[in-house]
Amino acid sequence: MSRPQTAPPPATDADRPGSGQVPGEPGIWLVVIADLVVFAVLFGMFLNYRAEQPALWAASQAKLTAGFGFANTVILLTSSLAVVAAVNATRLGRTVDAGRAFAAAMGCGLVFVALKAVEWTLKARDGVVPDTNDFFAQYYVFTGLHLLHVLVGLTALLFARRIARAGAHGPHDQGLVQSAAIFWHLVDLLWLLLFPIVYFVH
Amino acid sequence: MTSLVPRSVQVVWATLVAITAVSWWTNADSGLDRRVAGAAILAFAFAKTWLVAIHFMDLRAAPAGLRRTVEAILACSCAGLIGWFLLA
Repeated sequence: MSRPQTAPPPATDADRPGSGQVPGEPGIWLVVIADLVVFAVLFGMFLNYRAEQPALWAASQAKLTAGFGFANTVILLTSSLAVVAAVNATRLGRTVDAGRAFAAAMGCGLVFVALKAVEWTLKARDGVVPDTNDFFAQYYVFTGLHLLHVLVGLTALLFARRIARAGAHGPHDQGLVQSAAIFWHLVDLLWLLLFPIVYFVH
Repeated sequence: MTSLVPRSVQVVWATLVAITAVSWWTNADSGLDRRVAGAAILAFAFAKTWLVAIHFMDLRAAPAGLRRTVEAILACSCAGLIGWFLLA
């Protein structure tokens, strides 16, 4: 099942503090920083609309099912845990474990997509669509934009799994695997902001 | 598989789930003033993103410049959004 190297690298972050190396490919951090700035601006716009229509915001948020959001938060956090395991398994040359951990993370991601589809379907059946009001227009745009990130992240994890299963030879392969992981954590991070802001802040 | 996840990361995961549950409670049943609850929810949300950035995205072991850049963006976004929420 596992194929430890003769002198395996440490499995934990605590074992390699302050390595001074940029995690993943440097370019992935431009994506992370750009996404953080863009979403901060979008959330600012969302709060601005809220300030203009506080009653509408509160009434619309009351129609959302926070249980979906909470479940999806736990699912994404769990997927991030699996991705951490996958990256560490890749570093250790444990290709089978890496493949399983990436598969577990992707499974969580697919559950997220399924739950989002159910949530949107239930809302649409209740007549709640993007045209309903300003709040729901932004609700669908924000959650849709995040869902697009999830789909891109799942594709990245699929490629990372292939590389990891093949042994992730050399620093370039290791960097690609870690870059995919960082993007997936970004997907998680953005949801940790989106869920409370869209569902709760009014 | 558990051995592949550092204990510190497992603790962070549990903390993140707990903060999310508390945020939900803060909104639903706390009876807090709307402005206080909203600011608290935003602060909790950004605290969670910092934990993800440091422990999941591996910034703890990254060069100080990269770590500080990401932390500065998160801190400025947090302060800006909470300020905007309270003043708008």
